[in-house]
Amino acid sequence: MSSPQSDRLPSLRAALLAVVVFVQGVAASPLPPSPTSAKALANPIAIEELNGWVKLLGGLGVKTDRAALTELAIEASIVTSELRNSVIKPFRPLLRITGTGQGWGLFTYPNTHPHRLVIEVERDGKFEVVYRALDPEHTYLEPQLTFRRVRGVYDDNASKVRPSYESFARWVARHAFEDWPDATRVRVKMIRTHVVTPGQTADPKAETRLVRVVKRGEEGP
Amino acid sequence: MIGRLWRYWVALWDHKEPATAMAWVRLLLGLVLCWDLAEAWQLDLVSTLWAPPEAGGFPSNLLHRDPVPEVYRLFPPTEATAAGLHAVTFFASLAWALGLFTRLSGLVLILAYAQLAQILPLGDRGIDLMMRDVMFILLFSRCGDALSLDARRRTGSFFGDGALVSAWPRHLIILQIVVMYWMAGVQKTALTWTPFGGYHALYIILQDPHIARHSFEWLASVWPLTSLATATTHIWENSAPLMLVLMHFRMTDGQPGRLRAWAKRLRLMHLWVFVGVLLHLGIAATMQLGIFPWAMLALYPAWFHPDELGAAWGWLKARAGR
Repeated sequence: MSSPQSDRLPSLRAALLAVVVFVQGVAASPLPPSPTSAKALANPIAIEELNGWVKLLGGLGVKTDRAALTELAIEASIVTSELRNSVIKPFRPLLRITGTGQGWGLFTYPNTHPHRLVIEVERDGKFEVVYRALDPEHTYLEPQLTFRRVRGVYDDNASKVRPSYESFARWVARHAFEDWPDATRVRVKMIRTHVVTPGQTADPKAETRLVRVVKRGEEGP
Repeated sequence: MIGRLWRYWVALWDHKEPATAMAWVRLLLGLVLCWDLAEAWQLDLVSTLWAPPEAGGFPSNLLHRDPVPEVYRLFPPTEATAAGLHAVTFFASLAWALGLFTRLSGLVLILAYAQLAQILPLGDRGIDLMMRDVMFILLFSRCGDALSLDARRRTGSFFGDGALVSAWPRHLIILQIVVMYWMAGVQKTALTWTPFGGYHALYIILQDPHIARHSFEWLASVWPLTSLATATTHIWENSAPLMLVLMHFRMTDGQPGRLRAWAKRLRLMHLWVFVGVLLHLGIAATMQLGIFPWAMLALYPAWFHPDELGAAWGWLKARAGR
């Protein structure tokens, strides 16, 4: 004979799982965790995307412009992020300590302005390239630089610079100074290009960004 | 109506099955994480990734964050602490994979793994979140009852005794995978993921030097192939909820219905899973995303009932014995 407790267990478990599914469902929904800012929508990828939507909506008879769409996106993100955060807030300590959560925006906006990491070492007063992403001729530190956790650091810094980019540049310099005892400076930089889709006219522009030069003695521990 | 729905919901989470499928997920997922952490060690990146900047690491403002990661509240901010945390995570992952004190090692693993994420969020990718989510679900399961040293200790066999355990953790893992794929699909709102943007998303992604495994400039001459792959990916991800319907059909096999019979005849569930395998193998061949495709494939045993896995294993053994 089953006890009343064991009879209640399936219902209790189902109720608990209903709460879990609801909270995780809200967390997984495409509602933004924080309001979008005008600055975030002013980057080249967002501009290209918004222009595409203006054109598409125009074709459907909806007259709008980029400024109006930007404003709408910001207003919507304020409301939706508040809703999302109010549901998740009580569970945040558990999510934090277990490192669990939801957030599945994978390649949401393919990067039409990707960066290419370049590392140069100065010897005899002249910089020479030792690493260039995807360049088989220049592969210094390639296994480390292509390791997913390291790539995450410099690649994410390319879209929004954080202090870890300085740590990254110094780490590169430490290795380079050790491997080239005559090197005087190490330069880390990103080259931003514009990918156009097949059939469009190629854009030859290549912008050098996020240049960090580390002199010998400045590379730190 | 509400009463009927509630009874369905309660019954949905009350199934029993052998622990094999969950055990496979545990074993494969634990080994994938071991591989990732071993690679970090082999590349001499442990301190770089998880020690404070004062000790030469990438993490910034580590001791001035709110809150400071627990491990650096309890231990000094040194390379030794980073190495210790890495070692604890690695060995906990290995013990969990092998099913040695499965619950305890799983708990240590998830807490330590979460610390790695807190210390260097930029080095913690979407797949790490997914892995921890599944590990957390498995903490509440009996995944250590099969394919484990615990099972060997208790039953004398590494495969366990086939006793029935609660199936809800596997069902929740399925829901988690479906949500992940579906939300990834829903959020792909860039025009290049759609016909309006020529389905050029994958072409663009493969031109990113930090993502592509090789130079793919030549793809411009065969772009319809990348457009086809983009369309397939987008449709496949957005059709993920269909798997829940197909799972329901499987769980209630034998009931009448034309749609159900059609789905069974076309083996839609297996077809969808097969496309997923191809997609992840394609990612592994063309992109530098580390363990992402392998960790996702490590979750795939969850799609199958242990009876199906057993039948597949029997078929493989018979083929090998021929």
